[in-house]
Amino acid sequence: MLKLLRIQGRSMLPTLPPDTYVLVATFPFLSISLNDLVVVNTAQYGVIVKRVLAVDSSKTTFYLCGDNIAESVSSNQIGPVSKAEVLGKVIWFKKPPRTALNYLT
Amino acid sequence: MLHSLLRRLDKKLSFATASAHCDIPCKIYDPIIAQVAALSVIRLTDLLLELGDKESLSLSQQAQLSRLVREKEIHAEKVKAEVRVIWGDYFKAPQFETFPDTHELVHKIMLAGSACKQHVDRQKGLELLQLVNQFAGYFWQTKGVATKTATCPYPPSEDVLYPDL
Repeated sequence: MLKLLRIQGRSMLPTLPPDTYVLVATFPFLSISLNDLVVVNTAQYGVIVKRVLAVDSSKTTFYLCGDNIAESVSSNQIGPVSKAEVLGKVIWFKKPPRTALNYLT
Repeated sequence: MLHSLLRRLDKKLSFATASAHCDIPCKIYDPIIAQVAALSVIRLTDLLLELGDKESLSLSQQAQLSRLVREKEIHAEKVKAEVRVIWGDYFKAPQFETFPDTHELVHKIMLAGSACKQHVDRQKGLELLQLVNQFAGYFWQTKGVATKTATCPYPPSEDVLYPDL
């Protein structure tokens, strides 16, 4: 199944500026690899979008981080994420028109 | 074009959102960013007014004029954005109970920021800084941090409310 979501926040700059639309594949048995962009439903932070920093294949858990390290929740803060928490993988995205304000910190 | 189409669809269908939010856990808030941006607005206004005093502008001065206007707009918007984040993410019921006029103050800052974008008027910049200083005062008081007012040691040399650490 495919889902269209809108990005809020700046932790995925410059890859996904705020108001980017992302198409998320939510098929079961989706393969998730290093550097993939994933949407995850975490108890602590709600539905977040992050990049896969590391994969622990023995326990099928992932470690995530934001592309904008200065402003993102760190991998340590998010903690390991189980496959069950992964809602899907970003397979396409459309950024808003580039204006200075999109990219302001 | 595709993005504007998606945005129109979003308005109708209200897509769910995924947060790439940064400030949930870090708790790092500081109004100094807004205060420095407000100082920048005043400084940029001063530089624009200096150009305005000239009878005619050379090509490079016209280019400088363009840059100054752009930067003034960006910094005024930055003031608004930074204040909105502190107001929206840091202030909660206890802080609003302590300072019930915070909403009104923030709204005034939004209007003052826009006024700085619309005009080349030093007085409007000073008003913006004064409001942001007041907001900074509220912020530090809610954290139990004493404050002091000092003249910033660089142009535009205006009074800024700092935490007295």
